This record gives sequence, structure tokens and C-alpha cells, in this order.
Amino acid sequence: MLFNSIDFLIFFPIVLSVYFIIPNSRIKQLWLLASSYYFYMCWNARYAILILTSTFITYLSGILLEKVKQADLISEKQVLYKRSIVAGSLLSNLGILFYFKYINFTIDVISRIFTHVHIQLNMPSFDIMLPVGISFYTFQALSYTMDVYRDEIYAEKDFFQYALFVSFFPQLVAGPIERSKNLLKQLAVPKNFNFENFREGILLMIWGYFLKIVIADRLSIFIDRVYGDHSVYGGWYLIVATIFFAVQIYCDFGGYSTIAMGAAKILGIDLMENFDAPYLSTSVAGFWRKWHISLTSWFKDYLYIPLGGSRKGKFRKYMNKMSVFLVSGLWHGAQFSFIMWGGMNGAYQVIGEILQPVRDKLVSVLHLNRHSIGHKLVHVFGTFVLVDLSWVFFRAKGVKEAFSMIKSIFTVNNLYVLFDGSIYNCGLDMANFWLAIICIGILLFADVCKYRKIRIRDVIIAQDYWFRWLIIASSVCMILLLGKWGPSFDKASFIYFQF
Amino acid sequence: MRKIRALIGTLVTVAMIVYGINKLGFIVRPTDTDGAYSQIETFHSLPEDSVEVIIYGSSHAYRGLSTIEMYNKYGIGAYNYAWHWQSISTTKIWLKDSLLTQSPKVALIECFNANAPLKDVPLYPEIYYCRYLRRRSGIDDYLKQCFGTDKEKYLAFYMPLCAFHDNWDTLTESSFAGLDADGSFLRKTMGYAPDDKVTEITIPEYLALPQEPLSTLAIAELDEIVSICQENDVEIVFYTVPWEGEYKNGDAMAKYAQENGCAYLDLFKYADDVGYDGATDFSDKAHLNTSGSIKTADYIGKYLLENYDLKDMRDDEGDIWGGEG
Repeated sequence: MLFNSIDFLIFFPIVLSVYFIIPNSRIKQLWLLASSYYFYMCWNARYAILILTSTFITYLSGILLEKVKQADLISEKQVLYKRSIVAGSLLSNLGILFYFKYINFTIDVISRIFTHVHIQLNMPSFDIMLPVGISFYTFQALSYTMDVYRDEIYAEKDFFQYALFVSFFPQLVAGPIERSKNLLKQLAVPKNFNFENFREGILLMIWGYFLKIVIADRLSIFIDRVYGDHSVYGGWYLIVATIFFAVQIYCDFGGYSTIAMGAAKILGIDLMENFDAPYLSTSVAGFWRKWHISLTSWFKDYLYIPLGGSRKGKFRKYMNKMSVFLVSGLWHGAQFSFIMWGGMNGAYQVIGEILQPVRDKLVSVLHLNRHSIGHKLVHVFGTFVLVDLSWVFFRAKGVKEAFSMIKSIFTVNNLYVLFDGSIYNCGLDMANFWLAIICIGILLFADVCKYRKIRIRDVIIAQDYWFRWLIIASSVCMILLLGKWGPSFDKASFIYFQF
Repeated sequence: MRKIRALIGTLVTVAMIVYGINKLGFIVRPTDTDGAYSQIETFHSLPEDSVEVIIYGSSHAYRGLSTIEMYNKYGIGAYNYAWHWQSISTTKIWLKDSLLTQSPKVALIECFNANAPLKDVPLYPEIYYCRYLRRRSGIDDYLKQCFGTDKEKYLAFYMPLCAFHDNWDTLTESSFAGLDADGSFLRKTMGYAPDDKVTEITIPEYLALPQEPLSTLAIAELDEIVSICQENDVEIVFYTVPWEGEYKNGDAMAKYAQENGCAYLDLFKYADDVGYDGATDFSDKAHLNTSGSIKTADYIGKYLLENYDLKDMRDDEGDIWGGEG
């Protein structure tokens, strides 16, 4: 059930209405749990067993960890038992994830290695459908196990409440990956209807739908055409498409996260912010503090820091960073192009840090003002270019194709296509092309406001009632008018659903 | 007080959204549906049971057969209740609709789209203007056939913005004009749309036309049309007018008509008898002009008079055709 489908627009009001009518807190929770499982089972009913298994394993691990903590054991034994429980939880959950997401990739890699040394292996191939959201809910469930292990939270005794934490439908299939410290305690106390939450939630959902169906789905038409035949659409076509892809993935994923935040807000739940004007960052490291924040912070807390973080010297720090980003790439997909994408982003940061003294020297010698707008703009532009180059690997079908596209970007000289109308022959006519540009401008404005800590929805809410009504009504109508939706449009799934 | 204000605010906002959706849906509509609305309203403004012959079908019908000529030459009281690209499925709906206010003796059904029943299609103008037709249950069956179980397509029918919002960048002056139910022109011509333009075409040789059978769904639609007409004592004459293209269902239609006690006039076959001239009788490659539609009316009118008991409307003073053409 996609957020931009009629099914969701029927499902959500029903869930809301019943939730707020039910007076009993317990039954509210159970209703939300049932709705979340129904939401998930609309994708594929059988895979509800997987999420249930993951829920059960991590719930049990929490209970066992709590029992070990309370047991009268010597510290070495306690540590051993705790680590065993965590290891068991990690292995089983990651094992499930590995099977569904990485088994065929692993078999393929092994095959290639053996073929390279002239050994033919008859490796089996598995016809496996990737369960929607498995990467997200697995990580969310595992973070709970580790939080209990680290004594950051107490184990949740109520199975149904814990199951709701894992399966909470607004963020189930594409995040944000919530922490138990934040979400569990909110779900423990079901809320009554609150008009302020409702209003803010609606504004968030409207913004999310704008990002998704007006910007992301519009740009996808152009990008699919160009990336689908880059031998024909080389050079500046690819440059424009790659820039558009940076916007598309931001609006697609950001749109989903925003809709999820809005839906949760209406239910009285505050989900974490997943994006914080990432393309206004002045460094790649800064970008990764503002992009897919829930995943980046997950890797920082549960991989980077356990590996030693920056506490074991510079070389180890760089290795840890590269490891995290390579794993992050792999998390996104079982393909070398994703690993390459992750590796590039890791390398940017490592190289950036290594060259920091050189940059500092240059700034000093040239008497540059780091705080000037011009200086920051150059950094923002440079960061965008670096990140966008890595997006080529993310979007391309494989590493070879990505390199071919990058070669085309740098060698094909066809700037004229921007001026002779050719650019309007790639799926978006002139009106739609310029509408996309205008919408990107609106997005940029919104991000600049966010960067300057101005919450536009607070500004809207502070206005007179008639103005608020007008803004909401006209926004909804404009999204319906200008969005890419309806029976004649091949509905684009959210990009991050494939992870 | 705050709660009441919040509730009022929500209701007002929802009302504004609903109004906006309706208004925008109207603005982005394909404006060539407006003529169909006028056609439907004009037809239903006729006095009840005043028409003996109703012509149904596509633009080949309402542009290709002159009701004025039929009246002037033979006194036949006919109305051309057809529109653009009408498939046989929509013809069925229009037939049902017409029988709400009229009791014709003969249904002249033009067969350009006889083998193009609608199934699993999106909302598009032909279905869209059926919103203006009267019989609810008929439309429900029609929608079920056209849309299957696709919720978005059903939503599109009740909320046209869903289907047509992509037209936002092709709006014209007529997009913002209200629907004009003033069918005074159609009233004068009894639904017929004359066109004096002349384009030279080559009328295909009838025997050279490749032939195809009718699909199962097309036959089902035709069967229902026949059944409706039988229930209402309406005789059916299927017919096809020529154009510069291939009509692949002439033989199939002839066979169907024979098996079901209907008549079929394939004017590809009888082009010479009708006297069509490719140099003078067509407005474009697909449609007859005024000259050609007069010849069609002469030929079919003669056939109707010889085979059906039709009143000479010229004998009635103040009939709806008198002095109108």
C-alpha cells in the first residue's frame, strides 16, 4: 500500500477514526498493531511471518538480557551471557536479512571468483522476493537489542507494545529507523485526538505529497528516459538528469519520511527528522549528518563507535569510516554499484580530512573568509557535485554503466541541447520541465528556511485562521492538479522501498 | 469554543478543497466533451415521443447523415444522437438514454466502432460525458465493464481532476467557459453537424477490404442492443459509411444482422448506388461533408420508407423539423 494510493487514503482515515474513538488505551495499541500488520500484509501477506519472527527474536533477547542483568552472576559470566544473547539476536536477524537480500549476490560473487581461477562451480540460484522494508525493521529491532544490552533502556515486557514498535506502519517500510528510546515510550501512552497535532500532521503530509508526486514523480519521467538510453542522451542530458536524480531521490525519500512523520504526528507520535537540508551542506561529512539521519546515526552508534570510532588513531578512524560507508552501500542493495557509491562517500570524507591541513593553509595564504556567503556557496556547490557524482553509481544499473555515464558527462560536449529545445524531448515538455524547476526553487527556499531554523509550518500555523484555510486548501488542490498521479500515470514506487 | 472553531475550520477547509477539486476538474476537462453535453441536453429538450428514427454512433453518424435532408425529401422525423469516437459500448448507453424520452420506430446504428467495445480503459472523454446521461444503473454496468475493479478509474469518473489534471498546461479560453446547453444549432439540424469543406479522397474498393470477425465482447454489446430494441419495439438498421480507410467488419456485421433479424447497409459496398464521389463528398479522409451526407440521407431514407412504416412529418403542422432546417 503506497502512501500515494487510494488504498492508503481510505485506510488512514479509517485507522485514525477508530483509533480516536476507542476509549481504552490497550485496545488503541492493539488496533494500531493490527492496522500496522494489515498495512504490511497488503504488500505480501506471507512476509508478515518474517517481521513477526524478527519481533519475537529481539523481544526475547531483551527479556533474556534483563534476566541476565538481574541474575546473581559473576561479571565475566554476565558479560559472556549478554554477549551471547546479543550475538544470537544479531546472527538470526542478520541471517534472515542476508538470505533475502544477499544470498544471490554472494553466490554470484563466489561464482565469479572461482570462474576467475578457472574453476566451474554449479551454484544454486534462489528465486527470492525481497520483503518490503526488511532492511528498515531489522535495523530498528536490532537497535533495541543493543540499547537493552548497553543499559540505555529497560527491556519491554509487553510483547504487543514491542511488536507495535517494530511494525508501526507510518515508518515501517522506509523509515525513519526509530530508536526504542524515542518510539517505545511514546507508543506506551496512546494519545487522544489533539487538534494541534492534527494540523501539524496534515501540513507535514501535504509537504510530503508535494515532494513525492509533484517533484519526484515528475523528475522520474525525465531521468528514466535519459538513464534508460544514455548512449543517445549523453553529455548535458546526463548532467541534467543526474542533478534531477539528486533532487528526485531527496524528494522521494524525504517525501516519504515527511508523510510518515505527518501520519505519526496526527496519531500523537513524534518521529525523528530524517533530512535536514542536506544539499546545503558545506562538506560531505556535513551532508551525511543531514541525509537519512536515522540510518547514519544507526551506523555511527552501532557500527562506527563499536569499531573504535575515532578513538584509536587516525588510520583506524579512516578505516572505520570506510567500513561504515561500504556497509551502508551494501545495506542499500546487493550490487557492486551500491558498494561503490558507499565507498565513494567514505573516500570523500577520508580524503577531505587528510587534506584539511592543506585547505586550512590555502585559506590562510589566500586570506579567504570562510564565513563569507561566497565561500560557503562554493563549498555547497562542491559538496553537491561530489555527492551527485556518487549518485550516478546509485542510479545506474551497474558499475560499468555508471563509469560509462561519467565518461559521457565529461567528454560529450553538447551544451546546445539546453538551448535548442532538445531538452524538452526527454519525456518532460517545456511546461512540465519549467514547472519542475520552479518546484525545485520552492524546495530550495524551504530548505534555506530549515537551514536558518525557520519552521515554515509554524509560520503558517501562526497566521490568521482564514489564511491557514486558504493555504491548506490551495496546496491540496495544486498538488492534485500538478502532481503525477491517477490512472494514466504509472505509479512510481518510493525509491527506498527496494531496500 | 476552541473546539467548535477548530471543527468549523476543518469543515470549511474540506469544503474549499472539494470545491477546488470540482472546479479544477471542470477546467482541465477535455473541451471536446462540451459538444456532447450540448447534444445530450438538446436531445432531451425535444418533446417526448416526437422522433421516429434515431441515429446512433460516432462522428461518421452525426456528420455523415443529414437529418434535414431526410425530413425535406421524405418527411422522416429523425434525430442524430451520436458523438465523436463513440464505441459500441457507449452507443448502447446512449440508446438506453434516448429511450427514456423517445419511442422511435427505427434505430439507425452506425458501425464504425462496432468492433471496439470498451474494456479496461481509463476515463477518457467518451466515458466522461456519460456523466451527463440520466440512467444511473446503466452507467454503473458500463463503468464496471470499462474500469473493471480499478479504484483509481472509478475515482476518475466521480472526480475528473484525477483523470485530466495533466491537461493543466493545455488550457484554452473554452476551458474556462461554462458548459453551454444552448443547443440551438443542433436543434435546428436535429443533431446533425454539416461541414461544407471539401477534401479529395479515394473511396476504397469494397472487395479489397480485409475482413475480421467481431470480438466476443462486441457481439455481447450488439446482443444487448438488439435485446433492448426488441423490448421497446424498435427496429434496427446497422449501417456503415465509407471513408479513406479499411473497414474490416463489413462481412461480420452483415452476418450478425442477418442472424439477428436486423438490417445492415454497408455503404462501402453500395458506394456507387449511393453516388458517392471521392472528389466532392468528403470534408476529410474520415468524414462525409454536406454533399456526401445528403446522399447518405437520400439512400438510407429511401430504404427506410420502403421497409418501415414511418409517418410523413411534413403533414404535421408545427412539427419539430418544420422550418428548422
